[in-house]
Amino acid sequence: MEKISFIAEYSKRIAKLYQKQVLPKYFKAPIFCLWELTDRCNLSCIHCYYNSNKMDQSKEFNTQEALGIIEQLASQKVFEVYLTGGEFFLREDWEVIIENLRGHNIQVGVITNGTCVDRQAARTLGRLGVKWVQISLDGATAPVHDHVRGVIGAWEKSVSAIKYLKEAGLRTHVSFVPTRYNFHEIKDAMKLCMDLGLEYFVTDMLVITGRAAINFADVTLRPDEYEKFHSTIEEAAKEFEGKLTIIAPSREKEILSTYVSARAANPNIWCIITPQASCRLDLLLPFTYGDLRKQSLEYIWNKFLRQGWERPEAVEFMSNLGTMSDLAKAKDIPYVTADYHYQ
Amino acid sequence: MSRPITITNKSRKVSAVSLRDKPKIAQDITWRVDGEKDQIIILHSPKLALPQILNPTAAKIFSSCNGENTVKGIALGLCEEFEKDDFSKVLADVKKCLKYFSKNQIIQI
Repeated sequence: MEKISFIAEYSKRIAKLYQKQVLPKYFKAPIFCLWELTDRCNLSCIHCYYNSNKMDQSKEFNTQEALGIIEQLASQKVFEVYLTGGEFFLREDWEVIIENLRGHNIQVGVITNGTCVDRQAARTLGRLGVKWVQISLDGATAPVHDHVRGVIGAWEKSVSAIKYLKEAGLRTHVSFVPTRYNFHEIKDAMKLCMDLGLEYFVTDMLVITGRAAINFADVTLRPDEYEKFHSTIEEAAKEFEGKLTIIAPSREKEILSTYVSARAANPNIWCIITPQASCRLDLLLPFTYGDLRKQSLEYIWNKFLRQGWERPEAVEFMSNLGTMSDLAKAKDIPYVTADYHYQ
Repeated sequence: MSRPITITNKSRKVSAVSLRDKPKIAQDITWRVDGEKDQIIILHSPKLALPQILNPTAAKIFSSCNGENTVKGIALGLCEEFEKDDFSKVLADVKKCLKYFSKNQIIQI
């Protein structure tokens, strides 16, 4: 069982090299980008970090602007881009976007709820050379998953999507976010994934931003439930060893400083691009930077992001938080209150 | 403590590196020179799970893999650049590095 996420593990390794002065003070451009392509979503998940369907959609970048952003990603030699939303597949131009990213030899990962992935879409993703697809599955059964995801019938479609993606030969994994409504199904969800032929199962602690912060009291696990969640994972890891790789959070991760120290180590390796074409240092922060319609990624990265965790607003915001749960009580909540924008 | 995550491909048999080999960067590798002094290289390919970051010495070796330089030539170049007298030690390090690159399909030998 892996105890922390790929990105966190990667950041940790980089931090170690940085301390040994093997690495530079900063990177010239992001290594990865998480690209939130749209605010739109066809589900209404109680724990959505993003809080979808709340923004003025006319302000989202259009296809032409998206292609301009891709040019910038390519010119900065960004290696991997992870496409998400809202729901990524609600963008009518998703195929054009992937095609262009791949045309520039940028590796693409897709993060989706899977409800729009039919056999045809899966084949298209395969043809375009998508590196991996992550499907959100928050239950082993339809009633639990559909309750968490806010739409009846969602589970059925997500499970079908996994089958189509496997059929198309795509590397597919599941992401399971624990809430009070579904954490008891995690082991059965893992079994389901094994039955579906998946190699990876990813779970992480609930990120208390967006709708998860709004619904905090309803969704977040109590300490005894977190204990049960962790012990179930440990039990499953032993039982499924060699059959399923489980990537799960460490017990200490609820302490935000632990989370952030893994994620926010110098030099920064990534950024988030929003549907409004600005950039974020991290989804835990209520700050956005620059405007990719008017400014270059190079400018935004060098001015704001490459050593972004040293910026005063980031330091101050994080210093007021002890645990992830404190985010729900913060004056400014990422993806809920209006972001502070720096340009 | 967490276990390390394997970020490279499953083990691949790699033949020994000889002095006359002329290593060449694999076709599907993308890379960029990085760092405030252009001292490192970051590279990636569809075969790698995650991008690799090369320290300044590994970056030098990687960028010498142009299909024309021999392994011996690369080692001699490093001796000169870093003012090292112990050729055999440098050569051993170069071979080790090239073997790693080859195993991960970063170069072709």
